[in-house]
Amino acid sequence: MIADVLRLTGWEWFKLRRRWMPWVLVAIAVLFSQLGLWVGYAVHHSEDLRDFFDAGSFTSLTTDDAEGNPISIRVSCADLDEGGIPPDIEAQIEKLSERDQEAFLQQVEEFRVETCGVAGGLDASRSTFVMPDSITGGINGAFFIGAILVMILAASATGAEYGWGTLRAVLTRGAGRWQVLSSKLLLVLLMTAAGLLAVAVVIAAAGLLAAVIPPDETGGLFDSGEWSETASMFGKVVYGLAPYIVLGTFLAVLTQSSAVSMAVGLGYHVVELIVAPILRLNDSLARIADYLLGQIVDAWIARASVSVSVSTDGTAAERMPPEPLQAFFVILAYIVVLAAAAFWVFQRRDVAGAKGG
Amino acid sequence: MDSIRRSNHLSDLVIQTDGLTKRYGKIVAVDGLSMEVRRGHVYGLLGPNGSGKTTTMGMLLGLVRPTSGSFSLFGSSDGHRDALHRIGSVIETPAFYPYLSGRENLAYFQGISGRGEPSELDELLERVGLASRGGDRFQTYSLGMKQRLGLAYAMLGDPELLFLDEPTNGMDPEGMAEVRELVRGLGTGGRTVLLSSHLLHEVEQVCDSVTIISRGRLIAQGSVADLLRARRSEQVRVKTTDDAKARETLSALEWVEDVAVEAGSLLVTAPIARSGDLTAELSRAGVSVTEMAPVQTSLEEYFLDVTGDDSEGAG
Repeated sequence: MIADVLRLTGWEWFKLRRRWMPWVLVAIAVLFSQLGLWVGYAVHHSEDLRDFFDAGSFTSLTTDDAEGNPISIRVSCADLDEGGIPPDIEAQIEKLSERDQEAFLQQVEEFRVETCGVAGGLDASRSTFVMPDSITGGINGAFFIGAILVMILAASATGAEYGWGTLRAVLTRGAGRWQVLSSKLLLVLLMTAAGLLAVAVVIAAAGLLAAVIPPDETGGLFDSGEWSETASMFGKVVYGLAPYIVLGTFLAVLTQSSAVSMAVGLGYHVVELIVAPILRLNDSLARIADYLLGQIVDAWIARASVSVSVSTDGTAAERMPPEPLQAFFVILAYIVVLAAAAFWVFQRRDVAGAKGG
Repeated sequence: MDSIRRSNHLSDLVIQTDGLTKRYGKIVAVDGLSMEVRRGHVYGLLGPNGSGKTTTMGMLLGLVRPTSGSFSLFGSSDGHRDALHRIGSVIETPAFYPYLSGRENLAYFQGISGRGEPSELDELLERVGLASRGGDRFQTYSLGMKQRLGLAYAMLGDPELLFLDEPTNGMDPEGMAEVRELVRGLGTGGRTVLLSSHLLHEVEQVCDSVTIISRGRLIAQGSVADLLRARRSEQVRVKTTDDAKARETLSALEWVEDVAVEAGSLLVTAPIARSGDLTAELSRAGVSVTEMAPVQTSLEEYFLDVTGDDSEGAG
C-alpha cells in the first residue's frame, strides 16, 4: 500500500514537474522572500529608515495588578525617546506587585537597548540578511504568501484532473482512489518543503551578496541568531502550511474544478482576514477567532500578536493567542478533518468525463 | 461432471452482471441489466443516446457506483482493483494531459499501473500509427490522433479485456477502416473486446456478439448472426409476370402470413423453407416467377426495429 503511494507520488512528480505552474509559484515565493531581505538591507544602511521602522515597535505586559485586577501596560520606542519612562506609564507600573515591577522594568530596558537603540536597530535590520536569522525570517515571511501558493498548487494538482477528464483514465489503470489522492497530497507537501528550501538557498545567496556590497563591518557572515531556530522555523512553517494543502485538495475534490476550488480557498483566506478582527470585538466571540485556520496557524508559528478586546462596559483587555502546543493539536484536527472529508468524497463520488476549468 | 462444466462456463465469462442498476435521482440510467460477455469475443454494446451504455461501462470500471445489482469481472466479484490491471479502456473521448507528449502520457499511465516495459510504448505508438507524432504534445493532436492514442493507452500492459467506447469517433474513413481491422485483430487470441459504437454497420462488421440496451434495459443479446437470422422474418421478395394474380393466389394460401406490394415487387411473409411450394403454387396459377430472393435484414434494421421510438440516434 505504502509502496503504491510512493510509486504514484513519483509519477505525480513526473507530471507536475513538466507544468509551468509549480515553478511559477516557487518563483513568486522566492521573490516575495527577497523583499524582506532587501528592505532590511536598506534599513541597515539608512538611519532615517531605521528611525522610521523603530517608531512602531513596542513591548507590553498583561497581568494582574497588586489588587488582583487585570492590567495591561504598553511601552513604545517613542515613549522612551526622552530617556525615561513617561509619568502616566510609571503610574501604571506602580500598580504592579513588586516582583512584576522589577521584571517589567528589566523588560523595558532590554527593549530600549535591543530594539529602540541604534545598536538594537542595527542588529534587527542586519538579521534580515545575515545567516541564519535571514533564513529564519525569510521562511517565516514566506508563510504569508505560502498559504495562498500551496492552496493554488494543491487545488490545481487535483482539480485539473477533473478539468481535463484524466481522472477517469488514472482510476481505470487500477491505481486505487485513496492511493491516488494520498500521492497528490504527499507530492504537494514535499514540493512545499522543497520550495521553502529553495527560498532558504536564495536568501542565503542574496544575504552573502548583501553582506559584501558594501562590506558590512558590524560582524561576520553567519553570526546572527541560531541555526536551531532556523530548523525549527522550517518545520513549523511546513506544518503550518499542511492544512492549506489539505484544504486546497478537499475543495478541488468537492468542486471538481481547479478554478472554483482556488477561488473558494482564496475567498476563505480573505474572508478570514476580515472576519477575525470583527469577531475579536466581542469578548465571547474572540475565542472563536483564535481557532480560525489562519489565526491558529499564526499562533503556531508565533506570528500572532496580543489582541485587544473591548467589553461592553468600555474596559479593554488584552488576550494572549493559544499556546503553540494547543495550536499544534488544533492544526492537526484541521488536517485530519479536511483530509477525511476529501478522502470520503473522493472515494464515494462517481467520476465523469472532462468538465473544463 | 456437471460441476466441472459449470466451472468452465464461469471461467469463460469475463463480464457478468446481475440486475445492475444506476439511478440519478428519478432518472434510471441503467435498469436491472443482466448480461454476460464471454472470453475471446468482440462484443458490441448498442443503444440509442442516453440508453446507459457508458454508465454500464463506468460501473464495470469502478468509476460509477451502482445503485443496486452486482457484477463480476473474470469470474470474481472481489478485488476489483486487481481486475482493473487486466483491463484496458477508453471511455468517450480520450482524455490525456495536454502538456505531455503522447509518449509521455503513455509512460505515465504505464508507470501508475506498475506493469509493462518501456519498449512497449514505441511498439504501441507504431501499432496505432502515431510513431512519428509520439513526441508531440497531446494538445496538438487532432481528434483522430487522440482516438489512436486512446487505443494505445487501452492496450498498455496487453490487457485481457478491452472497453472501447466509440473508438472511431472523429476519424477519417481510412482511419476508421484501420481501427476496425485493429479491433477485430484485438479480439483474437483469447482477448475480449467490449465495443460501444453508434455506427451500427461498424458493430456488424467487427463484433461477434451484441447486447442491445434501451432506456437502461436489456433489449436483446446474442451473436450477431443468430440475432439477424432470427429476425430474417421469413420474408422473400418475388417478381412475377402477373403481380396481381400472384398476390391473389398467395393470399389464399394458409401458410402465407402476408403479401405486400413494395417497390415493384411482392414482399411475401412465409417460411423460407416453403419457397419451393411458393413457386409451385404460382406456376399452377399460370404465373411465372422472374426473380425471387430472401429479404436481408441488416443489424441497423434490426436495431431500429427492437429499440422502437428510442432509436432517433444510436449512441
